[in-house]
Amino acid sequence: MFHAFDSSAPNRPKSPLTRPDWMALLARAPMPVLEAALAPHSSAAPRWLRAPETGLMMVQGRAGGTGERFNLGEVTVTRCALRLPGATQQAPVGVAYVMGRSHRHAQLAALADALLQDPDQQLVLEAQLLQPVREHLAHQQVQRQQRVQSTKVEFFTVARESGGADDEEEGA
Amino acid sequence: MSHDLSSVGAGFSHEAFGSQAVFRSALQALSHPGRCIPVEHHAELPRHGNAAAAVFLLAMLDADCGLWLSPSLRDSDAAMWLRFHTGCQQVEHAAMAQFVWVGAGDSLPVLQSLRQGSDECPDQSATCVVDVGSLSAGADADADAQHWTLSGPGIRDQALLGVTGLPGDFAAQWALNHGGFPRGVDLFLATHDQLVGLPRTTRIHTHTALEA
Repeated sequence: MFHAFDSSAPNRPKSPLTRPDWMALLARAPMPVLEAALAPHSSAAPRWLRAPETGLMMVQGRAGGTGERFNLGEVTVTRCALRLPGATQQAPVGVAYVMGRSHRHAQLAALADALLQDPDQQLVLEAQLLQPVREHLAHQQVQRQQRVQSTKVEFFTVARESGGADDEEEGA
Repeated sequence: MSHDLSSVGAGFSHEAFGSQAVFRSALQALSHPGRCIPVEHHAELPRHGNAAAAVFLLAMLDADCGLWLSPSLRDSDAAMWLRFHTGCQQVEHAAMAQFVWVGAGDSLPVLQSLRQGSDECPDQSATCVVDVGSLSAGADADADAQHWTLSGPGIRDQALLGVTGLPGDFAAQWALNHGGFPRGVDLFLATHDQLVGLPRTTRIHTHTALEA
């Protein structure tokens, strides 16, 4: 669920938002946030370039991030491409690839992608949509870390035992 | 190769029905060589290339197909449109392609240089789609058209066809293609709304307009 670049987000210099950045955010955005932020735009039917379709995609990994490629497994992905309602033939195309089977999620993510390509809309949506999504993801990550933290096991190693702080903890 | 989607239109308005209707037309065209088969579709078409050829390829291609496009189509919106909707691979050399699309005015690659299949697997040959200026059945063709009498399987006695926009040596090339049976390519001639099928079993006899 989390990208490598998520963890370094707070101290990363604020660079201009790129399309891969917002597409990654939209793909993981919770539905209530998407529905609320895109309510003014999502009522009319979009001009479909590719209606939402669900399929399988092979996810590949690299051992240790640098090793040989291997097939990790298949994930269910829903994708679509659209133009905004009433847009011309040459208007920008919004594209979304979203994990899972939610056609609505893919549609809203593609809609947001199309809107975000317009610099004026980008300012509005940055505050109403992308920032809440970032906060949601950060919150999710903190929760997960806490959950994992509770199962942390302390192994008594030579290095540990020689340290003063850990000895005190042990005694307490 | 561009990845800009801004010029790409939608495909069939209903994917299954749209491609089935076009597939039916293509089947009709190959079953009755030389007959002009109307192609009906609801698709947003690219600006380049004849419509019947475009929707035929939209219905036929998938991710396993290698497609070769003639120079006028190679970098056009038609190429992007087909790649986006079908996921087909665009290949560099016509000899490697399963499907070949030749735009109007582009020179036709030599038919013998395309994939011919083998005697065991003649189905692995290329299918060639050629954009032509006009197609007309019978004797009412344009004065500058090539006039053909066709015969072979699927044709009762003989069929007349007038075609504009094909190279002059086409009939000679076709005779070689026909002679290589069971190997050889199958060909479709396409205008903006019609398809004519020329399977490798069809014989072409040329004659001038005056004789017709």
